[in-house]
Amino acid sequence: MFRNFLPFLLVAASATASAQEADWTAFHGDVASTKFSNVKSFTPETVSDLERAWEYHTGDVSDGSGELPQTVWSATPIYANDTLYLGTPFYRIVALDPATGEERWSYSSDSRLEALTQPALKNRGVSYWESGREGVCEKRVFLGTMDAELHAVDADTGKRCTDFADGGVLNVNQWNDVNDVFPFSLLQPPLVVGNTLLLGWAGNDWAYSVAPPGNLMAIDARSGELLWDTGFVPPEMIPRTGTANIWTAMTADPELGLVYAPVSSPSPNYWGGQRLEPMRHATTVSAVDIETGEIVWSFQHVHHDIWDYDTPSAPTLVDIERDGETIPALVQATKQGFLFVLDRRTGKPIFPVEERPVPASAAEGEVAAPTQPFAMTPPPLGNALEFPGVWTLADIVSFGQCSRDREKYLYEGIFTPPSEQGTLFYPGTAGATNWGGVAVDPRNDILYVNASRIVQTIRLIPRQEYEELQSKESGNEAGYYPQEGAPYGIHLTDWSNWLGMPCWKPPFGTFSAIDLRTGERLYETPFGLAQLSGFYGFESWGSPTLGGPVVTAGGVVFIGASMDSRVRALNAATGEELWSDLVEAPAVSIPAVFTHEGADYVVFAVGGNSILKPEVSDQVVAYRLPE
Amino acid sequence: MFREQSQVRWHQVHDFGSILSLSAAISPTEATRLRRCRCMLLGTNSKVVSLTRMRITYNAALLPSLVALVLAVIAYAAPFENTGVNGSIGALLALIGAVATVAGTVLVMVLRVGRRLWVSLNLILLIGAGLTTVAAYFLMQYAFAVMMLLTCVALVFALVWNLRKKAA
Repeated sequence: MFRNFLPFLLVAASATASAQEADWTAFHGDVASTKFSNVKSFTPETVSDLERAWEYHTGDVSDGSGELPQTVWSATPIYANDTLYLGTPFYRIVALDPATGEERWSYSSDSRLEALTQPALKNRGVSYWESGREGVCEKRVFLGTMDAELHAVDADTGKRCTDFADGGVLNVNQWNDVNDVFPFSLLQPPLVVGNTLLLGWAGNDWAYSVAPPGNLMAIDARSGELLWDTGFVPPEMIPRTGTANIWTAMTADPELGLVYAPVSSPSPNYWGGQRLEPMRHATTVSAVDIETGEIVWSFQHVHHDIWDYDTPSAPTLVDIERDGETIPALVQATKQGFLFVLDRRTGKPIFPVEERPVPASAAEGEVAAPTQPFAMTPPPLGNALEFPGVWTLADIVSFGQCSRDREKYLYEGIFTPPSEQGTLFYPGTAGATNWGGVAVDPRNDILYVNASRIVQTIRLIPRQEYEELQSKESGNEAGYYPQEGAPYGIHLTDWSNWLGMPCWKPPFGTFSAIDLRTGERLYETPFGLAQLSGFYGFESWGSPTLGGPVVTAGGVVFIGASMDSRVRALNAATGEELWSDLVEAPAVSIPAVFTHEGADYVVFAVGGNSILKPEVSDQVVAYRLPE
Repeated sequence: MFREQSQVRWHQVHDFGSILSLSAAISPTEATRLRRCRCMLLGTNSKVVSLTRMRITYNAALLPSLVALVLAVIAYAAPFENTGVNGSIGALLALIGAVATVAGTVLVMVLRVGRRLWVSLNLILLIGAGLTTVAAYFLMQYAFAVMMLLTCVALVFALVWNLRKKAA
């Protein structure tokens, strides 16, 4: 009984401490994924004085031109134990002095640097756990690897915690025994709730029809023992399909004893003829009992997903004041651009969700769901329901190529199924939102979110034609993918002209604020600068984004995320840019904001992502106000 | 040497005489003869344009274009710090534009060709410099863009000034 209760106490204490001391102990700042910092010194008046406190390079970077695959680094720095911890895409942990950026220790997992399940070496950071006692390995940092190892390292020394699993390394792939066509890649660090590590994994989404079925694992942070394992694919369908995994961050409510799992789409991603039965936990946010692993409720935001509309980010917990009542809610941002606001006790929508008819599929063996859930309050991000239209400038310089494409491809609104003739796919697979999710200021229930407006084209290629293709190059979220076992391979690419210019009208990305008490949008403004071959676009064009915002008690939002390799401070009240700094690549992570030895810091890991542009980096930059 | 030069009709050096006289390779008298001969060969107005002034007008364009070239190299190669465009195709094109502007400015300053061709060269140079200015602006290399803009202004001034002088 005490063992059951202790983790909640610890987490509650941790969350409270986090709020008071301005720690940043998890990927999204805390287990509630609010991305809110109590730091008050960063205000619209002061933030323009920000200056670089230090800069650090991990050395773990590859642009893919040599022997190593390209790196994609989206790690949020973790501030805990008076230290800044980072995971790297070479699967190392570095511990830095938060005041100076000096390296205190580093740990190498000696993991194979091979892109086993992804087109790049990816990492989204580390997790931190502490027992509350003094001693060796009573504070630990956990790092996952592409080849399915979970490493436990002493937070003070960087030495392996040998009492964890097998000498400090847990082979998570030992539990990958169904449809194991690829390893469980541990790219997202586990969520730490009390003494439990909650762990999902990433796979090779687009390669196979029959793939490992997605599951959520609970692991004892001290011993590495598997406590429970919950699957999201119906057992009777496992011989025909798979995934519905959790590749992104999760959220927990220790008081309710629930972990909220953003579950992705089933395999293969773009054709579902072999999985026509309802899969009620796929493409959902699902609440799972932390003690037992029982699925308490699931909210499916895409039925029969054939668009790879994974649930891309951890839901954010917020207690919403409405009509004099406090509703424990969660907000789930989606690739479709809908923000689903649910009662986190039951999974019931707080704002209306409509089931609307959507287009049928003409693909062989496919039966698209007749309706899909539409959340119109809050308004969809980036006007996701309205196709942007052909961009005249791109059309003119391509001598009408964009207009011809528009006629050629199928588009009947959001949820137009992939087709053999080719479908315009909007919002595209990178989504209106992705792993950055949303930030919420719990003092006024105002939500902040960046969103992309990307149109892609997707074509189902009949198997024989696919096999006969001479070139099947694939990259990061674009290219040819086989969907082995399905009657179709796919070709997915951004909708652009021969110059590489987007064929759709800008803006390409926005930043919004939404009042969660009313569901009203307070503002939506183009965000960032698009960049093509070095040339920047106009401010009104905005930029696609990856990564997310942090909101602070001083009324300032910090965000990287844009193509233009800038990190910015925005006025939370208006979205106006207050400050920016040029870094080496797009900062596609979430910044960490914390207080160390009396000084407030905002730290960005600058990794880059080839979805935005080719530049990658290993830079970590810390900013603070002048003394 | 003079005889050899006099036979080259299309690509005589504009102020070759001045350059040679400055370098003391030939006497000032010979340089003057060279200028007069060039005018006769080209059939231009017998009034000799003040070559020194002409050179000064183009030097006014050459100076900012040289600074712009240095800034273009910095933007592309980023020897000091990340420029946000380093290594990009856009920065490379702008660098090529800056090189072409410097080379073009020197050419229109020193080459002597027919009036129409000379004006055409100036216009091509102006278009190139203008496009490079726009490129620098969209690369957010503002110092580079300002230098290119100054180059454009100076080139326009030089062109107009020299045309008016010739017309007179």
